[in-house]
Amino acid sequence: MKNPRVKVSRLRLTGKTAFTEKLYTFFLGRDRLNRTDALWGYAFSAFWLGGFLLLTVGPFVVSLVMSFYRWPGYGPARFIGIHNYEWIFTKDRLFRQALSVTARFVFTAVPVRILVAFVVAWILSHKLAGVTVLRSMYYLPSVVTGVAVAFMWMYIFEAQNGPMNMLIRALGAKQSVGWLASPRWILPSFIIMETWTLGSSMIIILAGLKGVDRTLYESAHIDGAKGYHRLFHITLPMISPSLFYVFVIGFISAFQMLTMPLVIFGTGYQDVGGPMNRGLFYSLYLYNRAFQAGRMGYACALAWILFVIIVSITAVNFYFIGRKVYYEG
Amino acid sequence: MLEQNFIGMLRGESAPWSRRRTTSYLIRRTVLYVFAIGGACIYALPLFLMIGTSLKAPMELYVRPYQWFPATPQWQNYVQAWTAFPFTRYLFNTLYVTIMSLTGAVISCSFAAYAFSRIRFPARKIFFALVLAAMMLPRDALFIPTYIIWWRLGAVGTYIPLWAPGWLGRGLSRIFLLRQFFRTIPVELEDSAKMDGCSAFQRFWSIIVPLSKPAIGVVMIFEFISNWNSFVSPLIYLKDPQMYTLNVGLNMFRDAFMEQFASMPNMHQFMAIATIIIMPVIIIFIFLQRYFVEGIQLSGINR
Repeated sequence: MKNPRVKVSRLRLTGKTAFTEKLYTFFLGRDRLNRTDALWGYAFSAFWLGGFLLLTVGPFVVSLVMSFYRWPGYGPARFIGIHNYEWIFTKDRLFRQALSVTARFVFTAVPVRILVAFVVAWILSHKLAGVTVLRSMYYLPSVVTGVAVAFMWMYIFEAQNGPMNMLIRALGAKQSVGWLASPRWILPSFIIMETWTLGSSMIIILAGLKGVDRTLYESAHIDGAKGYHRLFHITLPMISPSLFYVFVIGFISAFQMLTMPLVIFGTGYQDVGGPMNRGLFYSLYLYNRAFQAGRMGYACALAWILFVIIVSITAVNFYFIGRKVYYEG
Repeated sequence: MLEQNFIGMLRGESAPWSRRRTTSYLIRRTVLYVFAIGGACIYALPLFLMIGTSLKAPMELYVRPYQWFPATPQWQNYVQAWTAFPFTRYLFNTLYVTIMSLTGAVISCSFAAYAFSRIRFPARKIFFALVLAAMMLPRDALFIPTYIIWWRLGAVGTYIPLWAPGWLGRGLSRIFLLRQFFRTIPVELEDSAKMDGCSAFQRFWSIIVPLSKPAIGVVMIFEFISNWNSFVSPLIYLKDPQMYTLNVGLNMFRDAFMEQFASMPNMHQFMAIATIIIMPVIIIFIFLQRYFVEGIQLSGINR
């Protein structure tokens, strides 16, 4: 007679099964009932994951690899080591020009735009009649972008009879200003254009302002705080997350600005970036090297440098300014 | 509110919210209105000038003092400019690319957003962290390596590089927006469907999608506008002039007819085409502006 001991049905995993089980646990989780769901998770992410690999990771790898090659856009590529980087950092004056133009633009236009956006948002945060219409009027310019708007600015900044020149003459200026056609006035023109598209920054700051607890102002008022006290000790700290966000995003996108300079200076001028290359924005230079000069490898090296610059500035923003941001709760 | 008022009364001073009719209050309101309305007019002015110029006769471009709006609108400017170049063809090309991309973006972004908000799987956190990190990366600067990749795949010269990114979930802010929206839908709805044996896709399709129509609408609007306005990609990838989109066509139109950089002749025609191109966007914006604001507040980005 055998001992009628009930076998404890414990799954013993050996060899291949154990490996599959580990694999399943790794990819689908411990919970066996939900494994079909987990599989669906991957299926749902597939489109995005494919895009992430092809259009985000891919370009990073490709630009890093290609930056060590010379390739005119067709035919075989030739490995040339760090020659591209060497040339960029020692000989390329246009690179320095592009960097200085872009830096000057970014470090003026972004703060100016955010400042104006803050003022507008502050005005619109009051209970005014027709505030929705006003908000739309400020936001509309941010919706329309592209070639049409670049043309509009080319008309407005036209060097002789453009509306902007008519305006400054009406205000008493003796001479007309060249705006986009004169080296000195390119940067101010671009700052004006950039400030025109403050819509999304304004909406984000406005949402922040609306979110500030009213009772804070009331108690500050009772404690005898003046207007500027309220601004610096309540409003700005309370909306600092919104401000920080528009600041970081503003830097990232301003560094990469391409459409406007490309339409305005891309064709019809003998210099790459407008008069005396004062409108040589970095991305415009990238475009020129890759598609007009036929130096893909070189452009990839430039792109990689721009990438490093932007990421470092974002990191610096997070490290030095991000720590001062006040997050409630 | 009440107790604050009470404290104020105890302290013998009028609280700011009870100072409704004082002179300083009225002055402050007036100044606010003047700045708000004045600023809004300045912001609307460039577009107004553009439309006004598009209706001018060629000679009126030089008139001093500046003419805000022509006495007799020259509507034929629009016809002349539109027929001077194959813009009708460009319009259909643009619509094709925009609709293809928009369809793909709605599908890919809502799928990804559903996976990131509702399905539990080990890689979810990593994937979503990658989405957030990639939003902070300067991806636009990588248009050259992206071009090289499409060239390797043999897609340069076709429309594929223009609409495929939509299908591949490139609009990360859209994924983020939809995820935020999906998270506001009660989980209980799905739990009961799960008990009844609905698969994840069935739950997504029959519960989440019907409830998320506003958010999906926002994604469609943003996607439409970003594709409609896109210039650099079509410029790079399209080689055949027959395939150009409106923006590239307008740029070519400029190269063909504008003698020198930003010179005045033909400006009325350029403004006419530019007005036609931005008009759909403005109309969409005027009718659906509520969604824009909600979309930005939900995702923080409008691109």
